[in-house]
Amino acid sequence: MEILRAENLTKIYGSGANEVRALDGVSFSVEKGEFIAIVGPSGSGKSTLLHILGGVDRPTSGKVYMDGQDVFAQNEEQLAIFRRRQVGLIYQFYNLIPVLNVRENITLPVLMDGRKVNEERFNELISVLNLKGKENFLPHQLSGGQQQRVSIGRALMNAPAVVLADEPTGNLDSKNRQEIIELLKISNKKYNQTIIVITHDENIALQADRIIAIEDGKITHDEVMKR
Amino acid sequence: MNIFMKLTIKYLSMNKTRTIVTIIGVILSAAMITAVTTLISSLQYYLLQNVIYIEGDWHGAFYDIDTETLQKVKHDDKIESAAVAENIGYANIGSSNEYKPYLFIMGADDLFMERMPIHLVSGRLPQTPEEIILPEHLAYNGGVVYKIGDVLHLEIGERYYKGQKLIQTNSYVHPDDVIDRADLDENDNSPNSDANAADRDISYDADDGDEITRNADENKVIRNNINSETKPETKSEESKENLIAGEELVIKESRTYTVVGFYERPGFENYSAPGYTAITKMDYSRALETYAVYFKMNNPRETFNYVDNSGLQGTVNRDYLMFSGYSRYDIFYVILYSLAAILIGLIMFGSVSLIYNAFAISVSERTKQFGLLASIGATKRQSRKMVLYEALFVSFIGIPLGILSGIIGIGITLSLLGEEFSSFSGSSGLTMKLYVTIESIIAACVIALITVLISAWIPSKRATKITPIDAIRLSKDIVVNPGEVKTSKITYKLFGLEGMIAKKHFKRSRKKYRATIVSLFISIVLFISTISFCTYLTDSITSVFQDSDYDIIYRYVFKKGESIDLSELTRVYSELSAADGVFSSNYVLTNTLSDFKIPKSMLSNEFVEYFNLPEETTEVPINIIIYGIADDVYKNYLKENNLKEEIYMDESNPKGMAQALISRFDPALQRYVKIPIFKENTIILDYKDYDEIRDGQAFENDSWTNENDNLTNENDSQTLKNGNQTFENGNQTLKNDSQNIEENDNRTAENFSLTNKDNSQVSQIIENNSQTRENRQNLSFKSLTFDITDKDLVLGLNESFNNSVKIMYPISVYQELFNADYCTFFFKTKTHAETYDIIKNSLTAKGMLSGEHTLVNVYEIHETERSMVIIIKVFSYGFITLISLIAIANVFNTISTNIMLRRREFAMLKSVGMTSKGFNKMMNFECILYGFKSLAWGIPAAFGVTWLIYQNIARGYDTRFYIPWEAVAIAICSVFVVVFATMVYSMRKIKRDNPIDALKNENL
Repeated sequence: MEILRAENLTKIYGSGANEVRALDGVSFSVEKGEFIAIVGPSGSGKSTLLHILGGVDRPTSGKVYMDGQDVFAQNEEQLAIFRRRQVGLIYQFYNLIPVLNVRENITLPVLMDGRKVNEERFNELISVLNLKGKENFLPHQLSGGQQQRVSIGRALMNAPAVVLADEPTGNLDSKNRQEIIELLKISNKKYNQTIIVITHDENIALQADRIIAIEDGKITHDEVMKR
Repeated sequence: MNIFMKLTIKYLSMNKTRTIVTIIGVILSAAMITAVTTLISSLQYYLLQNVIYIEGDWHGAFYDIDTETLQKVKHDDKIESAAVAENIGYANIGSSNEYKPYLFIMGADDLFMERMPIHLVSGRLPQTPEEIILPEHLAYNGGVVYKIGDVLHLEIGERYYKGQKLIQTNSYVHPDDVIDRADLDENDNSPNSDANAADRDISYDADDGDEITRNADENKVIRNNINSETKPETKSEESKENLIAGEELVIKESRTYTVVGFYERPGFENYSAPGYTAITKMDYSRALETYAVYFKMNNPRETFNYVDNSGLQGTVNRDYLMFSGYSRYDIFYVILYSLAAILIGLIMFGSVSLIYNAFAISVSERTKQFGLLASIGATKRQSRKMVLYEALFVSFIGIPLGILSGIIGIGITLSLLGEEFSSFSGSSGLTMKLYVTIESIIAACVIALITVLISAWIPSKRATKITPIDAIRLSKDIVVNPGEVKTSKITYKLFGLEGMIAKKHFKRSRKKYRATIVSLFISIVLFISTISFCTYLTDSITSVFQDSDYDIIYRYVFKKGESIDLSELTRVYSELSAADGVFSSNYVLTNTLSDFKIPKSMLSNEFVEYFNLPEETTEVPINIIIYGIADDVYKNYLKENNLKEEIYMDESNPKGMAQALISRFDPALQRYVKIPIFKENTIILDYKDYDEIRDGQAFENDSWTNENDNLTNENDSQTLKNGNQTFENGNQTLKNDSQNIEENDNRTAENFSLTNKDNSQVSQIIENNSQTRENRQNLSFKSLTFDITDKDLVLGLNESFNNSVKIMYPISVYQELFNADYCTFFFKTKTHAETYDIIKNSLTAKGMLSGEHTLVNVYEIHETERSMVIIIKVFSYGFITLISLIAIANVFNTISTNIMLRRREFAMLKSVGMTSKGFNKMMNFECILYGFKSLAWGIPAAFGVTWLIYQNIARGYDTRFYIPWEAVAIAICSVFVVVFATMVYSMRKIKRDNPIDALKNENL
């Protein structure tokens, strides 16, 4: 089942001589439950692609369909709600809200939606993420790995259509790095969660189901790994 | 509590300092707004109390109704309650005021006694229909003296004129006025004219601050009538034949009353009323009387219609309805509310700029958070709501505290200042008290909330405009155009690397700096312009009044042909000057030679130049005032000034001592200077011409105003402006005259009078009074000889009759040469009010306070102005203080937040080895940048505003443009002090940071 489809995505920054084509006619499709790694050198446009897929940035042209819906046909308001419900974002620098504790940070998308927190799912996530007993800690009381696990929890809390991770391990040591990858893999298997990860790390890329390579805004390589 | 509210509160508690400063800002602004609104409600209440004191507590009144109508009115369901008084009638009481010959007896019910302005001076209220209270002015105006316990046998009747019954609102029909009256009477028949007359009376009362005006008003009535006395003569002989007798009193009964008390002159007695109002208890057993009814309506707004449609003779208590807010469409409210609007506008401007900054910074600091929230799905509305929550939270704490402190502040101010207001309320002596209405609090609340919301709304709009991705990257802040951050080599050389970094930083994030500089700028402008506004305001008031060297003045006017009994006067004088509280006194005889023609050749060059006298002019009319000073006082005066008695007290060869100065506006010095009238120091004036002038229709202006009313003093720049105009007119007249001198001689005299500068009400009143007197001179001499002195004259003479030639002679000499128009007593006292009462009572008892004789408490008049200045000063400095506090909080907030935002940058600099000395250097440089930039914009702008204020004030008062340099100096110093202090405070926090933690701390 196709969960995500990008059609001829183009993103241009600046104009005239300063024009930069961050994305240049990128098209691909993602099946539900796929674990995809996007690789490429810095400046290749992979972060831009991820932000567009997540609905935080708009493409200059092209379309993104998620669950069959044209993402950018929605207005700002609908787009925000779309992000809240359908997308889970994980950043390199965690981007947790410093004044909220672990529990609040994880449940933030649900709370923003004004819905009741699914306690069962929360408790399950907490134990999967190995954050039990740290629910009331503030972000600065946690290690980097723990903080990143909180942000994974936040991304998964709503059971979104797709989880997008922008170099989730870029800031971590090798032990934590592997832990995070395992977590992503677990959620992929356990919840049949679609995950797209941007990474420099070949080890991580090799653990994905499919690797998409980008260079100068174009897909140069799209390979499904055999298990 | 939803998550956004929670988040907001967490952010607020994280940034404690800033939250507190913001709340302080809200408190200050709410307090100031509350101050304005409660001040308005207190003022309104104070004015209402004053009206109740003077007019009474009623909405409308009917004056002359029968029992049947009374019952109808009383039982009308529109009427809430009615105070009733029966008009018992008039009795001739032998008053010395020929236009107020009667005692008007009124039988009042209990409600009347309670609601109407019956203020006992002594004794008690009447309790039976046989007891009576008399008004105070029966003695001092009417010259009829009774005391408590006296029994009055009165022949009571009704007044009729041409068969028509007259009531208390119809003034006395004097036989001499009948011809003039005839026209008036026709008008009087229309129902409106009476209502108008009554209204007019009410407005008199509103202006009526004190006894003086009252006397003046009373005199006005008399004088006008006296003027009319002469009119019939000018009319044809025929009209004299038509002259019928005036009104007559038809006696219907005789009654006996016992005097049980005296009360202040009642506000419900018109100044032109024919009878002094005496009040007894209403006699319910009698039913044939006519009544006056003073009622309150259930719906006070209907009063106007009710009275108009009743078809009865009545009136509306306009001031009462106005000050209680039932008739709002009045100029009073226009002025009051527009002033309040200006003030509140200023306050809102100041506080929005503070609170806005606080929000703007907190929003920009949290832009990243907003972006983050947006990326995980917060809508714009939700982000904006967070800012709204912040605003509401801050208001929730700040506004109630602000309103409370505003009320307390005004309460304290009024309890300290309230006394000053009593000088405005005249005899009532009411003080202004704190009076808080629900409306005033709601208004303050709403205005303060609007202020906070405006401040929050603008930055929240901005925060949500940027896309989440930009917000996360904070890319807006990073865009740097290399050319923009280029700094000059001089900066590097002068201030080193640190200076250069500071400058670069300054150039890079102009927007952030702009917030600080704008808030400094606004503070400077507000501070300086408020101070100059207040200075101009107090100046314009102080310039109007001026201290005189005496507190109480009594003038005994000699009647036509009255022989001057100096021994009696001096006896009274010495008795009065021995009164408690008097520590210095003087008396003088005065003779005025109006428009004495002085040859131009004798006048000083300055004088001729100033008035631009044309070539042809040979003589200039100037008023000469001749004073007779008691010999012993004069001797002392001569001794003090090292002058020889042989010269100045020589009866055989009289030589006066004179002050001859006029003030003029010197455009170069921008103020008034006094210039001498005469060229020489010893003057001999030929006297013989004077008589010829006076044979014409002499115009004499007593300039009485100089002595008793400083509001119209000649140093009043406004009046003087007018005066100058008058003078210019005079010049024109003079030019015309010179072509046709003989014909227009009188007109010249009239217009070209130096003392004609007082355009005051009072001088108009008194203008003609000397026509009733014949003050012929003893022409036993043919010239006036006097020396000019530049020293002060004796007590009392220095501030009166300015712009005239004032000549002093010892009384022994004076009496040989001149008659006197009047004798004046001057008293300098320690306790002006008490002494005034003593003197007043003493003079009243002697019958020396009726007619044209006047006693004025000059100190009290001045006190009104002194109070005005104090009140304005207190309020304006209070305002300045609060505005400055807002400004300081503002600057503190912006600078400290800016520094907190640069924590990472500082950590980086620290980590690459910048010493704390280097930091100080860098920060000092930034402070200087802030200070200079804001001063460079702020001071010129403040000067501009000051100039605008000057332009506005100059329309009313002749004032000069000046810059409040002290305020500028204070502003400059405080800008640097506040900026440095804030820097030091915020840097102390920063310096404690561990650089690595700060660097790592992504979220500040």
